[in-house]
Amino acid sequence: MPNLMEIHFLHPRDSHAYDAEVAPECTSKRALTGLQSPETGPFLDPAPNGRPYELVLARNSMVITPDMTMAQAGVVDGEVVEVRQSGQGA
Amino acid sequence: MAGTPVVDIYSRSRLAGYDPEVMAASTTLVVGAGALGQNLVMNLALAGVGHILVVDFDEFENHNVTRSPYFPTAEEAEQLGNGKAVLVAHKAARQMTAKDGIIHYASEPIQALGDLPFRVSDVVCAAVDNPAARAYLAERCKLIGRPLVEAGFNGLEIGLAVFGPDASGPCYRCLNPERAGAFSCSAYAQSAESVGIIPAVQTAAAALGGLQAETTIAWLHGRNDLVNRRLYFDIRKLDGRLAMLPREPRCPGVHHSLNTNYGALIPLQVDRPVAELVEHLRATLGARGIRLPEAVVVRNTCVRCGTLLEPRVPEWRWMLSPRCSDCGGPYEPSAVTGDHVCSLDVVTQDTLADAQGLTAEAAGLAPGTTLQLISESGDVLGLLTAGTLDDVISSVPVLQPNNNTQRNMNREEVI
Repeated sequence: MPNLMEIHFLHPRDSHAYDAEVAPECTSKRALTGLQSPETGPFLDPAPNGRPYELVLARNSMVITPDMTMAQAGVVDGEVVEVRQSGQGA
Repeated sequence: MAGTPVVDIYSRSRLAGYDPEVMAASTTLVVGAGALGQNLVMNLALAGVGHILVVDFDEFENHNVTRSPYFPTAEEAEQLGNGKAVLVAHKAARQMTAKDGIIHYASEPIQALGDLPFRVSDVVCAAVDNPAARAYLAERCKLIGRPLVEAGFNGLEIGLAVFGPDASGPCYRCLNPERAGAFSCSAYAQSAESVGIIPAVQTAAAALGGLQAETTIAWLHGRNDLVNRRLYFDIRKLDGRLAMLPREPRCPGVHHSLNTNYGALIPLQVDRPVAELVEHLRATLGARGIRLPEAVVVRNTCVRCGTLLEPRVPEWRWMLSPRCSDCGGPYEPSAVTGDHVCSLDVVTQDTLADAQGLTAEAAGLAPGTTLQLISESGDVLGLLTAGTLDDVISSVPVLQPNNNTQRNMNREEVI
């Protein structure tokens, strides 16, 4: 049984949050896929092509890259993770 | 005029920590002359950056007027046309404060210009609106060793990132590994450009253009505190975050530089077959082959009519107008695989058949490009092709209010 961590995900645009139990080996990409799936509401609207969501660890302002696992990013139980999006227009 | 007091136009800038001499001697490459690029260029020109290169293949359209400080008057459009690069260069030239300043411009995609615009620049600014162009800029900057200040907005949300020149540091593709291309089959690869209109407002463009300019100017002064940082900000809510960017170990982008390999220049005749170039490099340097700056779409199948197409152009040129030459339908990424579907990114003796008849220019090689040679041992070495900036870009000298330098409006050889 994997040692799941509770992570508090903050919505990029409003005050909503979503608490999820996440495995340490879960990658940022996989976590974001889950946050856009019906199982979570979905918590996040589908990301437009070319404008993916990005996860930022609130504690140290470190971006969690798509293939980085929660464990590699140093995420611990109870961590707050912000969902952000960069701009694409110019 | 006798008795006229000398005014230091940079007195306020100096108090803000700017050194006009540093800026006057600096060169900034601005890729993209849309709303963001125009606001950026305006800030750089007024602040005193001495050399600015503006690259954009697009033209002004009426709806741009609400967010384009350099939107042309009817007279300007009649004289210069509607090309963004040429108009921005000429209009911004009037605002440049640097003595002997000059703006260079090119009305071509950046991929068509080779590496000289990067090599002559101290900082590269990405003001482009698609991931493919950002990926290209990210890769060339790492290869050549230039910092990249990348920015973009979506409505009132703005984003800016500073990627250092160190090849071992993070790059744009560490966060955005997917790269839309002619052969991508994932949903992501269906071109961000085709998704729909990206909302753009002048306030966001102005705010972000100011931030991008300030970040660039700071770098020109040797202040790199923001290296490998990304800013997320909402200009209406005044809410944001400055985050740190780690390197993604499995990043598919470029994380090596070619600055220190070969310094020799070889002449590049762009109208000659690329196979001839490969053979020459094999005979003289023992190179096994060359890696093209971007993959060439050799063959692909139209998913609408089934026609086998042979575009034989770099992916970026193919994606500018992705239409089937047979049915005229919009290009869609093909999930078909097999020998009849082919892209070419490395030209060796083994792949010369696919490169048959392909000229160096058609393969995306331009004067002043850094050729990536593949040695027999598999190492990648760098070699410069000969060329000058004038081979790929035009220039507009600045008309200074207190000298008689004639603005050369007629010297236009848009490549």
